[in-house]
Amino acid sequence: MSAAISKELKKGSADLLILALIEDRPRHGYEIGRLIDERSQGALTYHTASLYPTLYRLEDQGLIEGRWVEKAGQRRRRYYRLTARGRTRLARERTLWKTFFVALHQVAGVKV
Amino acid sequence: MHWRQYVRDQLSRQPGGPDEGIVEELALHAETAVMAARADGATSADADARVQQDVDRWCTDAARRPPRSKRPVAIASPPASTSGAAGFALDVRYGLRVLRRRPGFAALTVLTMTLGIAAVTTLFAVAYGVLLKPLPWPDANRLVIVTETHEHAKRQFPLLTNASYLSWRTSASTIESLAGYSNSTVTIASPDGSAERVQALSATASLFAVLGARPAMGSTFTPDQERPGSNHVVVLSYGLWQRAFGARQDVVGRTVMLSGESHTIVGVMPRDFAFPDAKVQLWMPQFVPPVNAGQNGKSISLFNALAKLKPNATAQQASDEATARSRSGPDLGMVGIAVFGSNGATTVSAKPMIDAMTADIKAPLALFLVAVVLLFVTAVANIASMQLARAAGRRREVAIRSAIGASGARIAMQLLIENTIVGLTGGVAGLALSFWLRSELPRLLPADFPRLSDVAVDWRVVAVAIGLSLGASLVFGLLPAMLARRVNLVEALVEDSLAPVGGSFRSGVARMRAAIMTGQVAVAAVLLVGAALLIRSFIGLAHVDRGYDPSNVLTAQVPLGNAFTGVSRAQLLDRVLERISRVPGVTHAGVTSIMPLVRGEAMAGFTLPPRPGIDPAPIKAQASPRVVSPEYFAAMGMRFVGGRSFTDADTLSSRPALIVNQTFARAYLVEPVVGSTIQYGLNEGQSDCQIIGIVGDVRQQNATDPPRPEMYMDYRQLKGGMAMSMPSIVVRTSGDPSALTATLRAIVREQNPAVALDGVMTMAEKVRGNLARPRLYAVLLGGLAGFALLIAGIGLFGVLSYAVSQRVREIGVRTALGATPLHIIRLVVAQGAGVTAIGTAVGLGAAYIGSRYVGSFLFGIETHDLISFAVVPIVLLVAGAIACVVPARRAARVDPLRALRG
Repeated sequence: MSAAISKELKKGSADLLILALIEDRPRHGYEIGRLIDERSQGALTYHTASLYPTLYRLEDQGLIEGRWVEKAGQRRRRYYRLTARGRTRLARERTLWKTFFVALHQVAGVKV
Repeated sequence: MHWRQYVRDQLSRQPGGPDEGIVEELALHAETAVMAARADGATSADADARVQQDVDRWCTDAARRPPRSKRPVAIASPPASTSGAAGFALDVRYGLRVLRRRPGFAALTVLTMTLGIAAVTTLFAVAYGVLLKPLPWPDANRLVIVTETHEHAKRQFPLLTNASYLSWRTSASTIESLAGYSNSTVTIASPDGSAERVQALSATASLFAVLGARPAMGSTFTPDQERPGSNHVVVLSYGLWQRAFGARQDVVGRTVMLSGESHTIVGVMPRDFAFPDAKVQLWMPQFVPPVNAGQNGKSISLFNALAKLKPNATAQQASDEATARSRSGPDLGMVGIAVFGSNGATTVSAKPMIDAMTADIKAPLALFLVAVVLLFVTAVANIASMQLARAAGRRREVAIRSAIGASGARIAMQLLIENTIVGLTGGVAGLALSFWLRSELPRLLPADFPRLSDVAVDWRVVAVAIGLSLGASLVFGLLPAMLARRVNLVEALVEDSLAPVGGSFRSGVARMRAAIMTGQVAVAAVLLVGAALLIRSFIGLAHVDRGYDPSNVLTAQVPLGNAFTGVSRAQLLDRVLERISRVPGVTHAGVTSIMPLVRGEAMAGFTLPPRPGIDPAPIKAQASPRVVSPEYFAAMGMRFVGGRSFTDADTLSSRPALIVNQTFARAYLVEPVVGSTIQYGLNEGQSDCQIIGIVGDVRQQNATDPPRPEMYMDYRQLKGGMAMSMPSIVVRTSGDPSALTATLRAIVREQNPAVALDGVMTMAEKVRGNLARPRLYAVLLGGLAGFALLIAGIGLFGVLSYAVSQRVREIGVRTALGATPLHIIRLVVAQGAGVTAIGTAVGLGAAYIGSRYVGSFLFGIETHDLISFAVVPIVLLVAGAIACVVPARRAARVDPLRALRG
C-alpha cells in the first residue's frame, strides 16, 4: 500500500507543488525545479525527469500558461503563470490535502 | 555538448517535426543545469551525463505529445544598450513587429495619414500651379491684361474697346507692344466633306510679338493681313497640324476652308505653344476698326487685350498712360451708352497677367487650403490621441526598460521610429493618391478653371508630402515619447485600473486626450458651418427662377457664317424648324439669335420719349435685341405677363411687332404697355413698332445677374432675315430631349451638309454647367466637413472608451453602492457631452468670426445664416451620442466584483 500511495502521493503532490510555486509570480522551468529541490530540503526527491512532462501536462489542462519573455542581456525564457482555473484547482488540492492530513492524523496519529 | 542539436534530434520523432519552442526551452534548462553542476565542482563529462538523463526523459515525453499550439510571443524588446546604426536597424525591426501586432491601429493610422496627405498635397499642387507658377512666356512678369471701365457704367467687361486700343497703340511709351484677341469657333472642312468645330482665336498680328513666340514653320501674320480683304490667312497649332494635316512638311501655303471661306495657311506654331489655352487650335487675324467708321455712325468692338511693359515701366504707369490716351481719343457717343450704360470717363487698367487670370479663383483656393489644413491637423490629432492611449498602456514596458538602463532618449527614439514608419507609409500612399487625383482633376473641375495644365505633382509637392509626414510623425510620436520620459517606475508598475475613485479626466493622459478631442469637435463644427452655408447657397442658386423652364429642352447653336446672307439663314432655319416640329415627341421648336447661357449678347441704344411725370427728358434707352421665331417662347417655357406672342399674321408686310420683357416695360414705358408704340429701327429707317406682349424676365447668364431690358422681334418681319451668324435652335420635347440629338443633326445636315451644329446639349445640362463652380465648392467643403465629423466621432469614441477603462474601479464601487446601469450610462454620456459641448461652442464662435470670408460665395443667404449655424450643434450632438453608445454600454456592463478585485 505504501508504494501505491507514495506514487499517488508523489504524482498528486507534483501538481500541487508546481501550482503553488507559481502562485505568487510566473517562473521558468529551471527555477521551478531548483525551488522544489530547495524547499523540500531534499526530502521530497522529486525527480526532475518528471518536471517538464508535468509542466506540459498542466499546460494542456489549462491550469498554467507559458509565455516567452526576453529580458535585457539574457536569452529568452519560457515563463509559466497560474491561470484562473489553476487557482481554483490549487485551492481545491490544498483543501483535499488538508482533509487527508487531518484524516491521517486522526487515523495514524501523524503530526504535521 | 551542443544541447540544442541534441534535443532537436531527440524530438525528431514528434509528429510534425520538433517544436522549436520546446527545443529551446529544454536546451536552455540543460545548459543552465550543466553550468550549475560545474559550479558545484562536477567535471564537464559528469555534468553532461547527469543532465542528459533528464533530457532524455523529457524528450521522450515531449515527442509523444501533439505539437503545441502557437502562442503569441511576448515581443522581445531591443537590448537597451545597443546604439548607432545597429541600434537603428533594431529599432526599425522592433517597430515593424509592434505594428504587425496591432494591425488595426496601424491600418487606421496609415489610412488617416493617406487621406490627409493626399488632400493637402493635391490642393497645394493646384494652388502652386495656378497662383504661383510663372507663366510659360519669356518675361511673363511684364505681361499685363488691359481692361477698361467707364464712370457710372451699369455694366463692366474685362475687355478693351477699339477706341482705347487704337489711341494707345499709336503713342505708347510705357509698353513695347499691345495686342487684342477674342475667342471664336470655326468649322473646319475635311477633305471627306465632314465638318469639325475647332476653337480659334482672332488676334492682332502683335500678339505673337507680345508673347515672344516664334512659329515652328512658316510665319505668323503681318499687320497688313489684319485688314478685311487680306485677312484670309491662318496659323495652325502643332496639334491641329498633326491631326488634320498629317504633319505634312508642305502645309504652308496650302488652303483650308474655315466656316465656308478659304484661308491660306501661313505658319504652324511649336508643340508647346498654347495661347490662351491648349484648346485653341488656330489663330486668325483680327481687325480693330476705328470708332468713327463711316456713315453707319460709331462702331465699338470689345476684345481681350494684352500688353508687354517696357523693362522699367510699372503696370500703374501703363494704366495711367492708357487712361490719358483713351480720354483724349474719340467719344463713344450713343453706342457707348448702349454698351456700357453710360458715357462717363474711361479708366484703363493694366493688371499683371497672372493676377488677372486667377483673380476669381484665389479666394476659393485659399478657403479650401485652410479647410484642408484644418482637416489634416484634426487627423494628426486623432492619431496623437490614439498614441497617447497606447503609450499609457505600454508604461510598464517602458518603465522596466528604462529601469534596466535604456536611456530616455533611446526609448523616445524607438517610439519615434515606430511612428515615423507609419507616418511615412501614409505619406507615400497619400502621394500616390494625389497623383491619381491630379489625373482626375480635368473631369472634376469646371471647364473654365484657369491654368489647369500647369498643375503638376512635382518635386515641390513631394517635398510637402514628406515634410508633412515627418512633421506629423514627430507630433504624434513625440507625445508618447515625452510621456515615456516622465514615467515614474513605481507608479507605472501599479495597474491603471487602480486609479483613485472619482477620477474622470484626472490623469494627465486623459486630460490631454480630452483637450485634443475638444479641438477636433471645434474643427468639425467650423467645417460643418462652412459646408452648410455653401450647400444652402447652392440649393438656392439651383432653384432660382431663371424665367424659363430648362427641363425637356434640347438646344444647339447653328454656325451659319459669311457664306450665308441673313435671308438664306432665315430660310434654312424655317426649313429646319418645320422638319423638326414634325418629329414625334417634339412639342415646340423655336429659333433665337441668342439664347440664355450663351455669350455674345449685343446691346442696342436708341431714344424713347419721356414719360409724363417720370422722365424729365427723352430717355437714352438700351436694350438687348433678340431675333426669334414665334414658337421660341413656348419652346423655352417663358411666361407671358401680358399680350401675345408672334403669330403667322406678323409678316414683312404687317405692322412691325415687338415683345418686351418686364424690366424694359418698367424702365421705359407707361401703362398700358401692350398696344403702345415705340420708334425703333426694325428695318431701314425708323419704324412704328407696336408692343404686342410682355414676357417675364429671364436671367440670361448667372442666376445672380439682374435682368436687363430686352426686346424680341420676329425674324420674318426683318428684311435682313437672321443677321446673327450663330443663332440657336431650341426644341421642347415630351420625353428625353437628348434622344433627339442625332435626329436634329441629321435634319440640319440634310438642309446643308457643310453646316455642323455646335454645343448640342439639353438646357438642363447648360444650367448644370453654369452651376458647376458653386456645386463644386459645396460638394468639396461638404466632403471635408463630413470627414472631419468622422474623425471627431472616432476620436470621441476612443477617448470615452479609454476613460471608461480608466474608471473601471470607480464604476465597480458605484454599482456596488447601488447605482443602476442608467446612472453609469449617464456618467459616461456626461463626459462625452461635456467635451462635445465645449468643442461645439468654440467651433461655432470661430465659424461666426470666419464666415465673413465665405461671404463672396454665398447667394441668397447671409454669412450668419441662422439655419446653417443651428443645424451644426444638432449634427454634432447626434454624432456624439452615437460615439457614446458603445463605451456607455460597456461601462454599464462592468461587473462590480471583478472591477473591485482589479
